[in-house]
Amino acid sequence: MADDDDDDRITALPESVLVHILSFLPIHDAIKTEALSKRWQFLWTYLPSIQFRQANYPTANEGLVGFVDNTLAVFNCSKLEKFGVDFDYEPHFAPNVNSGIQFAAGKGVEELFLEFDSVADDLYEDVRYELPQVLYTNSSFERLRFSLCRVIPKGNVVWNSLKKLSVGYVKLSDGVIEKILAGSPVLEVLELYNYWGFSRLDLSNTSVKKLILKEFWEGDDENDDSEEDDEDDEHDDSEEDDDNDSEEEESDGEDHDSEEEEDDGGTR
Amino acid sequence: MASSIENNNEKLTLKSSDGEEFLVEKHVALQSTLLQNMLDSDCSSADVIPLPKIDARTLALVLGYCKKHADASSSKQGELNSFDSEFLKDMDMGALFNLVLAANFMEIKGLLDIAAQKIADTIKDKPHQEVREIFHVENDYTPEEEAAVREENRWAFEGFP
Repeated sequence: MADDDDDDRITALPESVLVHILSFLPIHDAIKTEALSKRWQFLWTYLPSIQFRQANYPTANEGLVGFVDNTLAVFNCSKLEKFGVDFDYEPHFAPNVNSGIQFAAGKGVEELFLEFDSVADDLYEDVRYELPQVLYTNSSFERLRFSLCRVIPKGNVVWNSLKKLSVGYVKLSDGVIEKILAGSPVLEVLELYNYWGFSRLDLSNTSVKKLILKEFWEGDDENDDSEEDDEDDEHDDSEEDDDNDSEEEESDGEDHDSEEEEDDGGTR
Repeated sequence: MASSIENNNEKLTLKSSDGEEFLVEKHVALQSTLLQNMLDSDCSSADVIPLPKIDARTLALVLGYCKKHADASSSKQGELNSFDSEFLKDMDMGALFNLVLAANFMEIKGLLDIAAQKIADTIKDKPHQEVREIFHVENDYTPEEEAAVREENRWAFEGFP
């Protein structure tokens, strides 16, 4: 019988099935299979989805650099479905993150997530990662998720395929939110959490069907000693929990569903 | 007689590699993209669809999965999830490989995913030497080659001697 337990049945699987199996593993476990045998050496380089999460690594920060500098360079897949990083950001990692984004954008990535954590939740605005300008004009993106970074497009935003956008721990000015909405003609789901900075959110003339708002931060609380809470005033109920903050809204956008502009694609 | 089964009879016959025939309701067969395409392109007039790479034991498992998912497609997802995890529980590796191959050939995405996930779970968090033993992978690297391969992605092997 072919079921003989001593046969190397896994290596005999078709390449597409092996890559599919690898896609269920954390990236380092997938890469480690290269050492199994020669057949396995390059299988992982065909993975359609690449996610680097710090939680998986004891020495993550060096891992990130190695990952971006050595690992991404040998990827063979021609079209990337998903790329993401999730780690404790420090400013000297900016070039690595930039190369990662450049790599992913070059592979026509559809889903991108950049989640930066920080030991201190309130990593100062000016040392946060600033999204590179190249990221604002990309028509492959369908789903984007950013947290704890700076979103400051200098020119127009062009996200022609973007359907879902989720942004958290980010300051969004009125101008930025307008640019994003104007540049995302097919956006359906907009999620904002722990956000601040804008006063108006106008969804008329957009295709947004679902709006999720969580934890609006009132006032500008970073880096600004004019608004005073004594820092040692421990009993003050932490700002995020204030009354109006934890609302979650979902609007089903009855009215703008119907008025999607037909000519939007061609004439912007 | 099998030949009396008509196109519109909502049933079709599948034949395993070891010659066993399975009468399958059409809506169950539609879980398989391969069979769906065959039906769409009117190949269904053939009395029996041979599946020369899938043995009877595996095909019975596959059709059990398809039937559950076809019948329950509108019911609770939670029920299906627990069916899925029960389905593969205690399955030996040989059967699991047969299943993943069948799911791949018949293009049954849900089944392919849970079987691939199950195999991945066996690889996860283990040093590659152990993975090699579990699956009887024959190492055709020389020690020098293996060391060189590992060195290229040293960060991924950290914590794994």
